[in-house]
Amino acid sequence: MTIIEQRFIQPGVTTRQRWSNYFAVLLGVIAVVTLLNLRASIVTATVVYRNDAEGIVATYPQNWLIDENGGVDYIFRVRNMQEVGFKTTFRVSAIPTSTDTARRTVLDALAMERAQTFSNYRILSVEPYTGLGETEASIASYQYIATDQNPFQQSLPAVVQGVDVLVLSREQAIVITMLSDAASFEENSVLFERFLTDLEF
Amino acid sequence: MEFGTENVRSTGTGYIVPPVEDEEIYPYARVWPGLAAMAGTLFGVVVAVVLISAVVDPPRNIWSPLGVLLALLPGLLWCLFPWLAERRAELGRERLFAVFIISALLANALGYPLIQHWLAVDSWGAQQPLFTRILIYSLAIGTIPEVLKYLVVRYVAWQDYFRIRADATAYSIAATIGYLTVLHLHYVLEASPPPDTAAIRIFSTTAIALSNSLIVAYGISEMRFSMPSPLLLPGVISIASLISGVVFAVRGNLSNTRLTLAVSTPRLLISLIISAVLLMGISLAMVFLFNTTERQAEEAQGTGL
Repeated sequence: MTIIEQRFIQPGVTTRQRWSNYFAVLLGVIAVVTLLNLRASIVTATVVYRNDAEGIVATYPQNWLIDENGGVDYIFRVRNMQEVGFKTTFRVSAIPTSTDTARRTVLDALAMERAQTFSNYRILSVEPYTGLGETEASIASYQYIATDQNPFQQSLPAVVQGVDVLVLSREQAIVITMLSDAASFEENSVLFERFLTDLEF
Repeated sequence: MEFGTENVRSTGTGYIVPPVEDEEIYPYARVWPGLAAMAGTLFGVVVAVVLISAVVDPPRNIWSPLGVLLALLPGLLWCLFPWLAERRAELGRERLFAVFIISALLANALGYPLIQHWLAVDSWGAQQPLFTRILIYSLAIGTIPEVLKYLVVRYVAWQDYFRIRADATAYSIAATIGYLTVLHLHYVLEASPPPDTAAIRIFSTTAIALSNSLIVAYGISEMRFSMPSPLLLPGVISIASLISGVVFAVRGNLSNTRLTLAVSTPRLLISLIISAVLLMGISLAMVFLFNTTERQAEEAQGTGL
Protein backbone atom coordinates (compact mmCIF):
# COMPACT_ATOMS: atom_id res chain seq x y z
CA MET A 1 0.00 0.00 0.00
CA THR A 2 1.39 3.36 -0.96
CA ILE A 3 0.22 6.63 0.47
CA ILE A 4 0.36 9.54 -1.88
CA GLU A 5 0.07 12.69 0.14
CA GLN A 6 -1.07 15.80 -1.65
CA ARG A 7 0.56 18.65 0.18
CA PHE A 8 -0.42 22.22 -0.22
CA ILE A 9 2.81 23.88 -1.21
CA GLN A 10 3.17 27.55 -0.59
CA PRO A 11 6.56 29.08 -1.12
CA GLY A 12 6.29 31.91 1.38
CA VAL A 13 3.92 34.23 3.09
CA THR A 14 1.79 36.30 0.75
CA THR A 15 1.10 39.97 1.31
CA ARG A 16 -2.50 39.24 2.26
CA GLN A 17 -1.42 36.68 4.82
CA ARG A 18 1.12 39.07 6.25
CA TRP A 19 -1.46 41.83 6.60
CA SER A 20 -3.97 39.41 8.05
CA ASN A 21 -1.41 38.51 10.71
CA TYR A 22 -0.72 42.18 11.46
CA PHE A 23 -4.44 42.94 11.76
CA ALA A 24 -4.92 40.03 14.17
CA VAL A 25 -2.10 41.27 16.40
CA LEU A 26 -3.47 44.80 16.14
CA LEU A 27 -6.86 43.51 17.29
CA GLY A 28 -5.23 42.08 20.41
CA VAL A 29 -3.49 45.39 21.13
CA ILE A 30 -6.76 47.29 20.61
CA ALA A 31 -8.49 44.91 23.05
CA VAL A 32 -5.89 45.57 25.77
CA VAL A 33 -5.98 49.36 25.24
CA THR A 34 -9.80 49.40 25.26
CA LEU A 35 -9.90 47.40 28.48
CA LEU A 36 -7.37 49.74 30.11
CA ASN A 37 -9.51 52.73 29.12
CA LEU A 38 -12.71 51.07 30.31
CA ARG A 39 -11.06 50.18 33.58
CA ALA A 40 -9.80 53.70 34.12
CA SER A 41 -13.20 55.23 33.37
CA ILE A 42 -15.10 52.74 35.57
CA VAL A 43 -12.70 52.70 38.53
CA THR A 44 -12.39 56.49 38.65
CA ALA A 45 -16.08 57.20 38.07
CA THR A 46 -17.46 59.32 40.90
CA VAL A 47 -20.75 60.66 42.26
CA VAL A 48 -21.14 64.15 43.70
CA TYR A 49 -22.42 64.53 47.27
CA ARG A 50 -23.69 67.92 48.39
CA ASN A 51 -24.74 68.83 51.93
CA ASP A 52 -25.85 72.46 52.03
CA ALA A 53 -26.56 72.41 55.77
CA GLU A 54 -22.95 71.52 56.60
CA GLY A 55 -21.50 73.28 53.56
CA ILE A 56 -19.81 70.15 52.21
CA VAL A 57 -19.37 69.08 48.61
CA ALA A 58 -17.59 65.78 47.95
CA THR A 59 -17.16 63.28 45.17
CA TYR A 60 -17.02 59.60 46.09
CA PRO A 61 -16.48 56.46 44.01
CA GLN A 62 -19.45 55.26 42.02
CA ASN A 63 -21.22 52.16 43.39
CA TRP A 64 -20.14 52.92 46.97
CA LEU A 65 -22.93 53.10 49.52
CA ILE A 66 -23.54 56.49 51.13
CA ASP A 67 -24.87 56.80 54.65
CA GLU A 68 -25.99 60.11 56.17
CA ASN A 69 -27.59 58.64 59.29
CA GLY A 70 -24.55 58.91 61.51
CA GLY A 71 -26.15 61.34 63.95
CA VAL A 72 -23.39 62.99 65.99
CA ASP A 73 -20.78 60.43 64.93
CA TYR A 74 -20.39 61.60 61.35
CA ILE A 75 -21.90 63.86 58.70
CA PHE A 76 -21.71 61.18 56.04
CA ARG A 77 -19.74 58.11 55.15
CA VAL A 78 -19.33 56.05 51.99
CA ARG A 79 -18.45 52.36 51.96
CA ASN A 80 -17.40 49.95 49.27
CA MET A 81 -19.94 47.21 49.86
CA GLN A 82 -18.60 45.08 47.00
CA GLU A 83 -15.45 44.31 48.93
CA VAL A 84 -15.11 40.94 50.58
CA GLY A 85 -14.17 41.23 54.26
CA PHE A 86 -13.70 44.67 55.76
CA LYS A 87 -15.47 47.35 53.73
CA THR A 88 -13.31 50.33 52.87
CA THR A 89 -14.88 53.43 54.41
CA PHE A 90 -14.44 57.16 53.85
CA ARG A 91 -16.04 59.21 56.60
CA VAL A 92 -16.42 62.93 57.23
CA SER A 93 -17.26 64.07 60.75
CA ALA A 94 -17.30 67.37 62.63
CA ILE A 95 -16.30 67.84 66.26
CA PRO A 96 -17.12 71.14 68.03
CA THR A 97 -14.00 72.91 69.31
CA SER A 98 -13.03 76.24 70.79
CA THR A 99 -11.01 78.84 68.96
CA ASP A 100 -7.76 77.97 70.74
CA THR A 101 -7.95 74.18 70.33
CA ALA A 102 -4.87 72.68 68.73
CA ARG A 103 -5.14 69.99 66.08
CA ARG A 104 -2.93 67.68 68.11
CA THR A 105 -5.35 67.93 71.06
CA VAL A 106 -8.25 66.71 68.92
CA LEU A 107 -6.19 63.85 67.52
CA ASP A 108 -5.08 62.79 71.01
CA ALA A 109 -8.68 62.83 72.20
CA LEU A 110 -9.72 60.68 69.27
CA ALA A 111 -6.87 58.27 69.97
CA MET A 112 -7.82 57.92 73.63
CA GLU A 113 -11.45 57.29 72.77
CA ARG A 114 -10.59 54.66 70.15
CA ALA A 115 -8.05 52.90 72.33
CA GLN A 116 -10.94 51.99 74.63
CA THR A 117 -13.19 50.61 71.90
CA PHE A 118 -10.91 49.11 69.27
CA SER A 119 -8.87 45.97 69.76
CA ASN A 120 -5.07 46.41 69.54
CA TYR A 121 -5.42 50.09 68.58
CA ARG A 122 -2.02 51.54 67.78
CA ILE A 123 -0.99 54.97 66.48
CA LEU A 124 1.52 54.68 63.64
CA SER A 125 2.29 58.35 63.01
CA VAL A 126 1.04 61.90 63.46
CA GLU A 127 2.40 64.58 61.16
CA PRO A 128 1.42 67.74 59.26
CA TYR A 129 -0.54 67.20 56.06
CA THR A 130 0.06 69.37 53.01
CA GLY A 131 -2.32 67.71 50.57
CA LEU A 132 -5.08 70.30 51.02
CA GLY A 133 -3.22 73.23 49.49
CA GLU A 134 -2.99 76.22 51.79
CA THR A 135 -5.31 74.75 54.42
CA GLU A 136 -3.35 73.64 57.47
CA ALA A 137 -4.04 70.06 58.41
CA SER A 138 -2.65 67.11 60.34
CA ILE A 139 -2.71 63.46 59.45
CA ALA A 140 -2.72 60.56 61.90
CA SER A 141 -2.42 56.96 60.82
CA TYR A 142 -3.25 53.98 63.01
CA GLN A 143 -4.09 50.29 63.01
CA TYR A 144 -6.49 48.08 64.90
CA ILE A 145 -8.08 44.65 64.69
CA ALA A 146 -11.70 44.62 63.50
CA THR A 147 -13.96 41.69 64.22
CA ASP A 148 -17.30 41.15 62.53
CA GLN A 149 -20.05 41.74 65.11
CA ASN A 150 -22.20 39.03 63.55
CA PRO A 151 -20.96 35.66 64.92
CA PHE A 152 -22.81 33.77 62.17
CA GLN A 153 -20.54 35.29 59.53
CA GLN A 154 -17.65 33.18 60.88
CA SER A 155 -15.20 35.65 59.38
CA LEU A 156 -11.62 36.06 60.53
CA PRO A 157 -10.63 39.35 62.22
CA ALA A 158 -9.14 41.91 59.82
CA VAL A 159 -6.20 44.21 60.38
CA VAL A 160 -7.58 47.66 59.61
CA GLN A 161 -5.38 50.58 58.74
CA GLY A 162 -6.90 54.01 59.22
CA VAL A 163 -6.03 57.58 58.41
CA ASP A 164 -7.50 60.75 59.95
CA VAL A 165 -6.96 64.05 58.20
CA LEU A 166 -7.90 66.84 60.59
CA VAL A 167 -8.67 70.44 59.69
CA LEU A 168 -9.80 73.18 62.08
CA SER A 169 -12.48 75.34 60.55
CA ARG A 170 -14.99 77.78 62.10
CA GLU A 171 -14.78 76.45 65.66
CA GLN A 172 -15.07 72.85 64.61
CA ALA A 173 -12.65 70.12 63.72
CA ILE A 174 -13.39 68.43 60.40
CA VAL A 175 -12.10 64.86 60.52
CA ILE A 176 -11.84 63.04 57.21
CA THR A 177 -11.22 59.37 57.84
CA MET A 178 -10.28 56.43 55.69
CA LEU A 179 -10.57 52.90 57.07
CA SER A 180 -9.25 50.08 54.92
CA ASP A 181 -8.11 46.51 55.19
CA ALA A 182 -4.33 46.78 55.67
CA ALA A 183 -3.82 44.46 52.68
CA SER A 184 -5.51 46.89 50.28
CA PHE A 185 -4.47 50.12 52.01
CA GLU A 186 -2.12 51.37 49.28
CA GLU A 187 -4.69 50.75 46.58
CA ASN A 188 -7.43 52.57 48.53
CA SER A 189 -5.09 55.44 49.42
CA VAL A 190 -5.20 56.54 45.78
CA LEU A 191 -8.99 56.83 45.96
CA PHE A 192 -8.76 58.63 49.29
CA GLU A 193 -6.27 61.17 47.90
CA ARG A 194 -8.74 61.89 45.11
CA PHE A 195 -11.57 62.15 47.63
CA LEU A 196 -9.56 64.66 49.68
CA THR A 197 -8.61 66.72 46.63
CA ASP A 198 -12.24 67.12 45.55
CA LEU A 199 -13.62 67.73 49.05
CA GLU A 200 -14.93 71.24 49.72
CA PHE A 201 -16.05 72.43 53.13
CA MET B 1 -20.72 -16.95 -9.66
CA GLU B 2 -23.37 -15.18 -11.69
CA PHE B 3 -22.01 -11.70 -11.14
CA GLY B 4 -18.46 -12.70 -12.14
CA THR B 5 -19.66 -14.48 -15.25
CA GLU B 6 -21.64 -11.48 -16.36
CA ASN B 7 -18.60 -9.37 -15.89
CA VAL B 8 -16.36 -11.61 -17.96
CA ARG B 9 -18.91 -11.62 -20.77
CA SER B 10 -19.43 -7.91 -20.81
CA THR B 11 -15.80 -6.92 -20.66
CA GLY B 12 -14.44 -9.69 -22.75
CA THR B 13 -11.13 -9.60 -20.92
CA GLY B 14 -9.33 -12.46 -19.29
CA TYR B 15 -10.24 -11.42 -15.76
CA ILE B 16 -12.44 -13.71 -13.75
CA VAL B 17 -13.41 -10.82 -11.51
CA PRO B 18 -12.84 -7.13 -12.21
CA PRO B 19 -9.62 -5.69 -10.71
CA VAL B 20 -10.19 -4.19 -7.31
CA GLU B 21 -9.68 -0.48 -7.38
CA ASP B 22 -7.35 0.96 -4.76
CA GLU B 23 -9.31 2.17 -1.81
CA GLU B 24 -8.75 5.85 -1.15
CA ILE B 25 -7.20 6.14 2.28
CA TYR B 26 -7.57 9.24 4.43
CA PRO B 27 -4.14 9.31 6.04
CA TYR B 28 -4.78 12.10 8.55
CA ALA B 29 -6.48 11.78 11.89
CA ARG B 30 -10.09 12.95 11.73
CA VAL B 31 -10.62 15.98 13.92
CA TRP B 32 -14.36 16.07 14.52
CA PRO B 33 -14.83 12.55 15.99
CA GLY B 34 -11.92 13.22 18.37
CA LEU B 35 -13.47 16.51 19.44
CA ALA B 36 -16.88 14.90 19.92
CA ALA B 37 -15.40 12.07 22.00
CA MET B 38 -13.41 14.50 24.14
CA ALA B 39 -16.29 16.92 24.75
CA GLY B 40 -18.81 14.11 25.25
CA THR B 41 -16.65 12.34 27.83
CA LEU B 42 -15.99 15.61 29.62
CA PHE B 43 -19.72 16.33 29.74
CA GLY B 44 -20.40 12.83 31.06
CA VAL B 45 -17.77 13.16 33.80
CA VAL B 46 -19.08 16.58 34.82
CA VAL B 47 -22.67 15.33 35.04
CA ALA B 48 -21.45 12.34 37.08
CA VAL B 49 -19.55 14.63 39.48
CA VAL B 50 -22.62 16.87 39.90
CA LEU B 51 -24.92 13.91 40.55
CA ILE B 52 -22.51 12.26 42.99
CA SER B 53 -22.01 15.57 44.81
CA ALA B 54 -25.78 15.91 45.16
CA VAL B 55 -26.00 12.52 46.87
CA VAL B 56 -22.71 12.34 48.75
CA ASP B 57 -21.27 15.49 50.25
CA PRO B 58 -17.54 15.28 49.39
CA PRO B 59 -15.30 15.95 52.42
CA ARG B 60 -13.52 19.29 52.38
CA ASN B 61 -10.04 17.77 52.35
CA ILE B 62 -10.57 16.17 48.93
CA TRP B 63 -11.89 19.31 47.24
CA SER B 64 -8.46 20.50 46.23
CA PRO B 65 -7.06 17.21 44.81
CA LEU B 66 -10.35 16.53 43.07
CA GLY B 67 -10.30 20.06 41.67
CA VAL B 68 -6.79 19.57 40.28
CA LEU B 69 -7.90 16.32 38.69
CA LEU B 70 -10.89 18.05 37.11
CA ALA B 71 -8.66 20.90 35.91
CA LEU B 72 -6.36 18.41 34.20
CA LEU B 73 -9.27 16.41 32.77
CA PRO B 74 -9.66 18.32 29.45
CA GLY B 75 -5.93 17.88 28.84
CA LEU B 76 -6.06 14.18 29.70
CA LEU B 77 -9.06 13.66 27.43
CA TRP B 78 -7.31 15.54 24.66
CA CYS B 79 -4.35 13.16 25.01
CA LEU B 80 -6.70 10.19 25.10
CA PHE B 81 -8.77 11.04 22.03
CA PRO B 82 -7.39 13.58 19.49
CA TRP B 83 -3.72 13.20 20.34
CA LEU B 84 -3.78 9.39 20.45
CA ALA B 85 -5.67 9.39 17.15
CA GLU B 86 -2.85 11.48 15.68
CA ARG B 87 -0.31 8.92 16.86
CA ARG B 88 -2.27 6.14 15.20
CA ALA B 89 -2.86 7.95 11.91
CA GLU B 90 -0.69 7.24 8.89
CA LEU B 91 0.31 10.87 8.69
CA GLY B 92 -0.23 12.26 12.13
CA ARG B 93 0.09 15.96 12.69
CA GLU B 94 3.45 17.13 13.93
CA ARG B 95 4.16 19.72 16.60
CA LEU B 96 0.68 19.26 18.09
CA PHE B 97 2.05 18.69 21.57
CA ALA B 98 4.43 21.65 21.13
CA VAL B 99 1.41 23.86 20.40
CA PHE B 100 -0.29 22.50 23.54
CA ILE B 101 2.74 23.18 25.77
CA ILE B 102 3.61 26.61 24.35
CA SER B 103 0.00 27.72 24.62
CA ALA B 104 -0.06 26.63 28.27
CA LEU B 105 3.18 28.49 28.97
CA LEU B 106 1.89 31.61 27.23
CA ALA B 107 -1.31 31.48 29.28
CA ASN B 108 0.69 31.29 32.49
CA ALA B 109 3.22 33.94 31.50
CA LEU B 110 0.97 36.48 29.80
CA GLY B 111 -2.71 35.58 29.39
CA TYR B 112 -3.60 34.87 33.02
CA PRO B 113 -1.62 37.70 34.68
CA LEU B 114 -2.81 40.18 32.05
CA ILE B 115 -6.51 39.48 32.64
CA GLN B 116 -6.51 38.63 36.35
CA HIS B 117 -3.84 40.89 37.82
CA TRP B 118 -2.91 43.74 35.49
CA LEU B 119 -6.38 44.45 34.12
CA ALA B 120 -8.15 42.83 37.13
CA VAL B 121 -11.33 42.53 35.08
CA ASP B 122 -13.22 40.60 37.78
CA SER B 123 -12.95 43.44 40.29
CA TRP B 124 -14.63 46.09 38.13
CA GLY B 125 -16.31 44.33 35.20
CA ALA B 126 -18.87 42.13 36.87
CA GLN B 127 -20.99 44.97 38.29
CA GLN B 128 -21.44 46.83 35.01
CA PRO B 129 -24.65 47.03 32.94
CA LEU B 130 -25.31 44.18 30.50
CA PHE B 131 -23.95 45.80 27.32
CA THR B 132 -20.78 47.07 29.01
CA ARG B 133 -20.31 43.64 30.50
CA ILE B 134 -20.67 42.01 27.08
CA LEU B 135 -17.99 44.36 25.71
CA ILE B 136 -15.65 43.69 28.65
CA TYR B 137 -16.06 39.90 28.47
CA SER B 138 -15.76 39.90 24.67
CA LEU B 139 -12.39 41.60 24.89
CA ALA B 140 -11.03 39.94 28.03
CA ILE B 141 -12.31 36.40 27.67
CA GLY B 142 -12.63 36.36 23.89
CA THR B 143 -10.23 38.56 21.96
CA ILE B 144 -7.08 38.46 24.09
CA PRO B 145 -6.91 34.66 24.59
CA GLU B 146 -7.90 34.02 20.96
CA VAL B 147 -5.16 36.31 19.64
CA LEU B 148 -2.59 34.67 21.93
CA LYS B 149 -3.63 31.16 20.86
CA TYR B 150 -3.64 32.24 17.23
CA LEU B 151 -0.07 33.51 17.59
CA VAL B 152 1.03 30.14 18.96
CA VAL B 153 -0.57 28.25 16.06
CA ARG B 154 0.68 30.81 13.55
CA TYR B 155 4.33 30.67 14.58
CA VAL B 156 4.64 27.00 15.58
CA ALA B 157 2.63 25.11 12.96
CA TRP B 158 1.03 27.34 10.37
CA GLN B 159 3.90 27.73 7.94
CA ASP B 160 5.38 24.24 7.76
CA TYR B 161 2.86 21.80 9.20
CA PHE B 162 -0.47 22.80 7.68
CA ARG B 163 -1.44 20.33 4.95
CA ILE B 164 -5.23 20.37 4.92
CA ARG B 165 -7.92 22.68 6.26
CA ALA B 166 -8.70 20.41 9.20
CA ASP B 167 -5.17 21.03 10.50
CA ALA B 168 -6.26 24.50 11.62
CA THR B 169 -8.96 22.93 13.79
CA ALA B 170 -6.62 20.32 15.26
CA TYR B 171 -3.93 22.84 16.17
CA SER B 172 -6.46 25.36 17.50
CA ILE B 173 -7.99 22.70 19.75
CA ALA B 174 -4.53 21.77 21.06
CA ALA B 175 -3.75 25.44 21.78
CA THR B 176 -7.10 25.92 23.50
CA ILE B 177 -6.78 22.89 25.75
CA GLY B 178 -3.22 23.86 26.72
CA TYR B 179 -4.32 27.43 27.49
CA LEU B 180 -7.35 26.29 29.49
CA THR B 181 -5.40 23.77 31.56
CA VAL B 182 -3.41 26.62 33.10
CA LEU B 183 -6.50 28.76 33.74
CA HIS B 184 -8.32 25.83 35.35
CA LEU B 185 -5.35 24.99 37.57
CA HIS B 186 -5.18 28.60 38.78
CA TYR B 187 -8.90 28.53 39.47
CA VAL B 188 -8.99 25.33 41.53
CA LEU B 189 -5.77 26.10 43.43
CA GLU B 190 -6.76 29.67 44.32
CA ALA B 191 -10.48 29.27 44.95
CA SER B 192 -10.65 25.63 46.18
CA PRO B 193 -14.25 25.31 44.98
CA PRO B 194 -16.54 22.35 45.73
CA PRO B 195 -16.16 19.59 43.10
CA ASP B 196 -19.56 20.14 41.46
CA THR B 197 -18.97 23.89 41.07
CA ALA B 198 -15.46 23.28 39.75
CA ALA B 199 -16.70 20.64 37.30
CA ILE B 200 -19.43 22.86 35.88
CA ARG B 201 -17.13 25.86 35.56
CA ILE B 202 -14.44 23.77 33.88
CA PHE B 203 -16.91 22.36 31.38
CA SER B 204 -18.45 25.77 30.71
CA THR B 205 -15.15 27.53 30.04
CA THR B 206 -13.91 24.59 27.97
CA ALA B 207 -17.07 24.59 25.86
CA ILE B 208 -16.95 28.33 25.20
CA ALA B 209 -13.21 28.34 24.48
CA LEU B 210 -13.50 25.35 22.14
CA SER B 211 -16.40 27.01 20.31
CA ASN B 212 -14.29 30.13 19.89
CA SER B 213 -11.30 28.17 18.69
CA LEU B 214 -13.38 26.38 16.04
CA ILE B 215 -14.54 29.72 14.65
CA VAL B 216 -11.01 31.15 14.67
CA ALA B 217 -9.69 27.93 13.12
CA TYR B 218 -11.88 28.63 10.10
CA GLY B 219 -10.21 32.01 9.69
CA ILE B 220 -6.74 30.50 10.11
CA SER B 221 -7.41 27.78 7.51
CA GLU B 222 -8.85 30.29 5.06
CA MET B 223 -5.83 32.51 5.54
CA ARG B 224 -3.57 29.54 4.79
CA PHE B 225 -5.36 27.86 1.88
CA SER B 226 -7.40 30.62 0.23
CA MET B 227 -6.77 34.22 -0.57
CA PRO B 228 -9.38 35.96 1.54
CA SER B 229 -9.47 39.58 2.60
CA PRO B 230 -6.82 40.37 5.24
CA LEU B 231 -9.72 41.40 7.47
CA LEU B 232 -11.22 37.90 7.54
CA LEU B 233 -9.05 36.66 10.40
CA PRO B 234 -9.59 39.65 12.72
CA GLY B 235 -13.25 39.44 11.69
CA VAL B 236 -13.67 35.83 12.82
CA ILE B 237 -11.75 36.54 16.03
CA SER B 238 -14.16 39.42 16.71
CA ILE B 239 -17.21 37.24 16.00
CA ALA B 240 -15.90 34.50 18.29
CA SER B 241 -15.15 37.09 20.98
CA LEU B 242 -18.62 38.60 20.72
CA ILE B 243 -20.25 35.17 21.04
CA SER B 244 -18.23 34.39 24.16
CA GLY B 245 -18.99 37.84 25.61
CA VAL B 246 -22.72 37.44 25.06
CA VAL B 247 -22.76 33.90 26.43
CA PHE B 248 -20.78 34.85 29.55
CA ALA B 249 -22.94 37.86 30.33
CA VAL B 250 -26.30 36.24 29.58
CA ARG B 251 -25.37 32.96 31.24
CA GLY B 252 -24.44 34.87 34.39
CA ASN B 253 -27.85 36.54 34.41
CA LEU B 254 -29.65 33.23 33.96
CA SER B 255 -27.67 31.10 36.40
CA ASN B 256 -26.94 33.50 39.27
CA THR B 257 -28.80 33.24 42.55
CA ARG B 258 -32.12 35.08 42.55
CA LEU B 259 -32.69 37.83 45.06
CA THR B 260 -35.46 36.37 47.18
CA LEU B 261 -36.48 35.99 50.79
CA ALA B 262 -36.60 32.20 50.39
CA VAL B 263 -33.53 29.95 50.19
CA SER B 264 -31.97 30.31 46.74
CA THR B 265 -28.92 28.76 45.11
CA PRO B 266 -27.12 29.36 41.80
CA ARG B 267 -28.69 27.39 38.96
CA LEU B 268 -25.51 25.73 37.79
CA LEU B 269 -27.25 23.20 35.55
CA ILE B 270 -28.51 26.04 33.34
CA SER B 271 -24.91 27.12 32.88
CA LEU B 272 -23.96 23.55 31.98
CA ILE B 273 -26.78 23.18 29.46
CA ILE B 274 -26.12 26.55 27.80
CA SER B 275 -22.43 25.69 27.38
CA ALA B 276 -23.16 22.22 25.97
CA VAL B 277 -25.72 23.56 23.50
CA LEU B 278 -23.32 26.31 22.41
CA LEU B 279 -20.48 23.88 21.76
CA MET B 280 -22.74 21.47 19.90
CA GLY B 281 -24.32 24.22 17.78
CA ILE B 282 -21.05 25.88 16.83
CA SER B 283 -19.36 22.53 16.15
CA LEU B 284 -22.14 21.52 13.75
CA ALA B 285 -22.03 24.91 12.04
CA MET B 286 -18.26 24.73 11.67
CA VAL B 287 -18.35 21.15 10.33
CA PHE B 288 -20.78 22.36 7.68
CA LEU B 289 -18.67 25.42 6.91
CA PHE B 290 -15.40 23.47 6.67
CA ASN B 291 -17.00 20.80 4.45
CA THR B 292 -18.57 23.39 2.18
CA THR B 293 -15.33 25.32 1.82
CA GLU B 294 -13.38 22.12 1.19
CA ARG B 295 -15.85 21.02 -1.50
CA GLN B 296 -15.81 24.43 -3.16
CA ALA B 297 -12.01 24.39 -3.18
CA GLU B 298 -11.99 20.92 -4.77
CA GLU B 299 -14.52 22.00 -7.40
CA ALA B 300 -12.50 25.11 -8.13
CA GLN B 301 -9.38 22.97 -8.47
CA GLY B 302 -11.24 20.54 -10.74
CA THR B 303 -12.43 23.28 -13.06
CA GLY B 304 -9.04 24.89 -13.07
CA LEU B 305 -10.22 28.06 -11.37
